[in-house]
Amino acid sequence: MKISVPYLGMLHIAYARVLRNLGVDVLLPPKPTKKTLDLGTRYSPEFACLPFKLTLGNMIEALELGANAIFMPGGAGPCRFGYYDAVQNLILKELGYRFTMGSAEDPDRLSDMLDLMRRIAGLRSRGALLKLFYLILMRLSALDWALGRYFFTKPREAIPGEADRIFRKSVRLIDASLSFPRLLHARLRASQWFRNIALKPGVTPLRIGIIGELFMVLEPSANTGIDMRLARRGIEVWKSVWLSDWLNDRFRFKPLKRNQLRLSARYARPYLRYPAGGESMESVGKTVLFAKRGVDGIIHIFPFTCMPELVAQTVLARVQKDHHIPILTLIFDEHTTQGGIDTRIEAFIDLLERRRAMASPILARS
Amino acid sequence: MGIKIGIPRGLLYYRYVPLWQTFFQELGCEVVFSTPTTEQMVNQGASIAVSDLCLPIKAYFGHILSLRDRVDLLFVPRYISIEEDAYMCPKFLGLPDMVANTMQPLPPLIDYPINYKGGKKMTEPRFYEKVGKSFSRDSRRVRQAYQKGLERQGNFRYLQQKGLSFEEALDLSMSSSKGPGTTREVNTAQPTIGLVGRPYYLNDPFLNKGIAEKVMTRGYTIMTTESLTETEVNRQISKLSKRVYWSFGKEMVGSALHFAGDSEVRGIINLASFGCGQDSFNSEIVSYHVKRMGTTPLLSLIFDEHWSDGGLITRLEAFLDVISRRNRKEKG
Repeated sequence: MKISVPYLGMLHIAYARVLRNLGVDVLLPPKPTKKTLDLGTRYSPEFACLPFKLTLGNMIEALELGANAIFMPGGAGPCRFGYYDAVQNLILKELGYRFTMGSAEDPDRLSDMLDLMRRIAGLRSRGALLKLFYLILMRLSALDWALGRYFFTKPREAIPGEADRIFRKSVRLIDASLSFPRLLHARLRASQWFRNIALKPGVTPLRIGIIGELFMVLEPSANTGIDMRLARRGIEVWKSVWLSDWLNDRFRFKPLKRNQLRLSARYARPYLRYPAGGESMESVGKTVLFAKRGVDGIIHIFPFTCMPELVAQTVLARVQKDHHIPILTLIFDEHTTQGGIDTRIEAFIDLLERRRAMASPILARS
Repeated sequence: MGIKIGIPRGLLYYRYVPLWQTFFQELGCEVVFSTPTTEQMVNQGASIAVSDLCLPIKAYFGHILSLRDRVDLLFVPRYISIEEDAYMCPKFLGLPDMVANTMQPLPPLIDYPINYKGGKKMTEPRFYEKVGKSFSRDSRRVRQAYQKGLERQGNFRYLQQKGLSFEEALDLSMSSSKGPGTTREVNTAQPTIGLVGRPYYLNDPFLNKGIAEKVMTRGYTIMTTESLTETEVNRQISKLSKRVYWSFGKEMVGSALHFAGDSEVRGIINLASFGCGQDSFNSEIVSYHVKRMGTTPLLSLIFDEHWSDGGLITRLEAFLDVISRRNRKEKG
């Protein structure tokens, strides 16, 4: 069985090597490109959301390379994401591909996830499955942590490129750590590396919070790598959702980390009192939280026709007024180009810089 | 007269109005409905809504704008789920929040949730108990109001399933105290078209551009999604590899498959919203299975606030031409 899972942020780094180490034949499709999206769009329903089209394109590429088992998380609503596997299965079977589609009944339930792991890895004992699942989660958590450090360090680095070098090095080290002790060790070492990066003194970089739908916030091929480009431009990026935090809300592997959905719900309370599916609650709650913590502006990203984020967008209009926080909404579909996004981001950054300069002339960045 | 409760004539109004109206009237409230949808309402709603929201939501906003100055309370319930294995649309989950955050000033909202999904459950009886408490201390009276509402709601749905239109079923169920007994005489000489959609598309002639009438004046009878019972829908849904987890999505897919398997139904028209997340998937599932089940022609119409009558008629007549040609071939 040659298994393949569509890309989602750094998820592939977290599982690929661990599974291969167990003898699982993992096929990583080529990194999604314009061609992937074109493929996915050609066979998708017109109004399917961008993540659907991208993952479908990714599956086709994997199947062309010989994969015969595709794994998608599945789900039970209310967002469309939980139904991806069923519709993609129909479309791919109609295209004549022969493969099995694996998904969990309810990916929020540990037993279902372990069952999914069992089908992928072929392990039988529950203990071994738990260990495998939590090792992957911890690796993911370490990767997210490294990216977070990168977002903090990059706009402050004294030697250009230093943060990028350390980030890449840390990812490589984490990727090579296939046991819990090695992983802990890797994290301590990477932490040391990040601390040793020389920082420019007295820099208060512009801060932008990226909020929105999980896949769009995480996957660089979907959001045109917006977070990395902002970081390279000297902006400190905060994100409303991290895959490891999102999973931690469900599987509690980071005992010290708070439940992010509940945290968001507390801050979103005056505006959104019930999660409207997807990441609507995180988008609203984290906007309020980020505003209170002094973020300069918010970029809200989600795919065209995304139902939960449209609710969030509607509600955010009021948050923007109440908290005096500028929000730039970027809606992505298959026609989105990096140039178009960059133009709007540039204008937004100009606005944020002016706002800051007007608020306090002394602290203004040159 | 009692307190004036405003009920916007949009979205779930088209499914639950007998229950809502009876319940509030029994508790001594005056129920005020907005007028049927007008172009002005849709335009006003669209002007305050985020541009990518679907047409029914924009129309709903317009209804609220037209009602808000005339009533003491607005009934905007949060329908999260009405059954254990399915959700409503995410936009229903956030409906009261969207309303409250886009159009102040507003009268107070009655926005309790209805939820059959784990965690914070709030079943329908408990919902009405809670709503009723604000109007009457007498819990027996509240229960009776709910019971009477349920009865009429049951009659209403029964009449719809017997083939009566929304207005006919509503009038009959609200007026007569007698149990339902009427059925519409079906003109068997006319070929039948299956109309698939959500209640607020099927029954709002402004949103659907009077599609039902347009079809009927061209010599066809109509069967809609709402004329099927839950059992009939579920029978079809259970054939799918994965159950559809949206209540109206289930009805749409289930009824389309039912129509496809019914030799009396000569064609299926699927009504969907521009930019509707669920419809993008429902329509895909429907077209996949309808194609496999036989040769019933399928017309998918996507509605938004820019739809023109002419475009609709062109497509509809082309579709009906296909059907009548096939009918002639079969006969001749």
